[in-house]
Amino acid sequence: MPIFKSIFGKEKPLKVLMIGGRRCGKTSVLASLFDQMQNGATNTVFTVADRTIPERKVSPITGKEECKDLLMNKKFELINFIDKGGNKTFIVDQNPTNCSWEYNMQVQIPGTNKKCRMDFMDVPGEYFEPGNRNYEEIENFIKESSVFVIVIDTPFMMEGSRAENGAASCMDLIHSFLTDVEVNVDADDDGIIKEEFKQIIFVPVKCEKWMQKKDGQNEIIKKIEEIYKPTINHFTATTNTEISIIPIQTAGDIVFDSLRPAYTVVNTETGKRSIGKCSKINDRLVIDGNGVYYKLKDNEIINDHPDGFFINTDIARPFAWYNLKQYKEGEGKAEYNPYNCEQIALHILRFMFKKFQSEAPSGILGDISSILFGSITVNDMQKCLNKLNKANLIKDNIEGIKTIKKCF
Amino acid sequence: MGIFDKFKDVLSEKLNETPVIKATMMGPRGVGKTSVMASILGDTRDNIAGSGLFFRPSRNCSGELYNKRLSLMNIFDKRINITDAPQAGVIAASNDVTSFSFEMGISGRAKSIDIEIKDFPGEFLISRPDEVSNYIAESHIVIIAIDSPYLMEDNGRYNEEKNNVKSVTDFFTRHPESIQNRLILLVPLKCERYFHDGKIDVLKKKIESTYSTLTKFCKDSNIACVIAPIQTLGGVEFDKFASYNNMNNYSNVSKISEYRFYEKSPEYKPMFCVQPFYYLLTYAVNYYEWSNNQNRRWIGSLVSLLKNDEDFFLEIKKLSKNILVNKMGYAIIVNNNILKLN
Repeated sequence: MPIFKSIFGKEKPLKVLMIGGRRCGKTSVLASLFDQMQNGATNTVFTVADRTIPERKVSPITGKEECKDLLMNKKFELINFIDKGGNKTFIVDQNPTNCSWEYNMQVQIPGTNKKCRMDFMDVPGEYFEPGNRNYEEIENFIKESSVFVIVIDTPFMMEGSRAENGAASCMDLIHSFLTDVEVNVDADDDGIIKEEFKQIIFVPVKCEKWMQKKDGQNEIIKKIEEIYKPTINHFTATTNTEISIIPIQTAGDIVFDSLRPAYTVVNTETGKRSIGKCSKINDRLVIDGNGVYYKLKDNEIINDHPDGFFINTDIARPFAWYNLKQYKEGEGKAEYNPYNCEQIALHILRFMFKKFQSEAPSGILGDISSILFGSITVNDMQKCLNKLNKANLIKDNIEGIKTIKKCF
Repeated sequence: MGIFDKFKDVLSEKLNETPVIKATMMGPRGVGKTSVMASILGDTRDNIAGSGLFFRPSRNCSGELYNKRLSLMNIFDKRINITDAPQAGVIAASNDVTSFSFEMGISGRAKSIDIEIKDFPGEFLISRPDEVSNYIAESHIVIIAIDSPYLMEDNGRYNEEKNNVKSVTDFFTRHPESIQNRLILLVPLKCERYFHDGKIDVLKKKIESTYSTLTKFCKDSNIACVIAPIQTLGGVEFDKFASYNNMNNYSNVSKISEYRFYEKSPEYKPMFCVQPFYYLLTYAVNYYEWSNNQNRRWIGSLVSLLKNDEDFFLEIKKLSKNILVNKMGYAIIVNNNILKLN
């Protein structure tokens, strides 16, 4: 129990595992989530600090030493796309995550020493792909975590083919991981799952296009409930698991345009690429990743891009192209405008508070540990929840946010 | 450590083991056995036939099977961009013994059983018969995959070189002890054309006549035998044979089959792929009951009983209601007091 742990050791943070296919946007979700929690309306209830520790390690994917990205750098990458975008169609080409990294969010009651922590484990999408050699690492993360944020690449889900979406989302393997490890770890001698509270949040990202449409958010919810039905049904029927869907916009004004076949332009004399990522207009004309038209020279040809297949499959992976939201003259311009990203953290916090409430003794023991170790007591948690509810800061069943199953 | 302590250790180990149900699979390369395994995942993604059971591939083959399923979907998703008819062999054939492992149990609980299926290439019947025979002896059923177009088209001229009927029949007649009390499933794959053309009964009769020596052996030996046709992909059907070329690696085959998309909007819609599993599970449960009645308790049965998995046992028995019998091309050639279906 956390109170006893806090007497004899450090307070126990809540572990959150970010799950999703390659390049779906897990790190961008974290960047926008931290940003909105630190700078949004919730700082009347508690203050949020990024306590992430810098780290370097060798990537099991590239074999090279990698450095943990600061989340604010991810935010600046998105802002950069908005600054450069103009009225062109472009590719959002962010640096991929090549290692598992932990990001630590501290939540503190203003004016006090009382705090708690959420640790977010950001894992490369490759870990969920067939042929992955990091199964044990994933298994350990799943065992340690109480919350699973399944990040969904909405453009692939809504406009990709079934095979493209299946390969991009890795939904079948993710389902296997979650149900296999969860069952095998937490089952008692009779094979019955122990009653441990868990939370699963489906987070469709890059939703801007659909959120602008009438009924677009319902289309997203319906699609998620359809294609993730096995996972939803399993956790609805089995454990004390809270399940919800929280669509977010990590950038706000970057709007999905289309999926297009992936090409590159190669100089036939040097063998080097003249243009990295592009879309083909005809055999001699392409649009590059920044949305600039490029006419091929005589010694250049268009080739399939090496990133143009899902790994270990023969399924072509198209590039996703985006536009900036267009404003009428005088009405403003496209800006970094994330939306509802803080809802993920707020729903997790609410779950965490209720989970701790159900596990921890109240009364004098809690008060003593609060004084000695700065942990938030059960009473504090209830006060915070009351304030959040009173200020209508936690959204439930509006704007596409849907609770499929509650456990408290 | 005394004998009693050792017995306790062995029993404890056995008690904690998950029971394994095994099946042997054999048949020509490129017939679609891996595709069938992958297609089963679609039918069982949520649950099995509306039951409270889960079914999933084991860790060691889940990636391969999920990827295979995606590749099969992709063939249909990209229909617009495909101008040539898909050829058999574009889906890569397996060249060695392939194992497929699955787990089953009641939703919300740990798995109750493991299912292991070993697929032996046809040449193993001649080059490594003991290995095949030993595995059959541990299995409950034997699945013999049949490439249906080779059986049906051009008067079956290319059937023997593809489906090796004689080798299969000779193997079983030479190793009768391994097949005793097992179920033989004759599973014609790629049957779409015969379903679409209303010729599935013709296919059934063709199997009965082509495999008559084997089925007579089964009748004489009281070995249960069933015909269980499958539509491997659904939205394509056999078109014609084309001449063999070296690129496709079919060393004994003089013709390869070409397929065409069926209907204007063909879909990846395999059918009946899960039927062999229903037969496997039903037969395994019936075998357990039969062996108990025969007082032939083997350690596996004892373990299952001691694990007290009556709930799972009953759920499996319910699944037998979903078995196709004597319709849609399904036929019981030899029934016995273990199979007990009519």
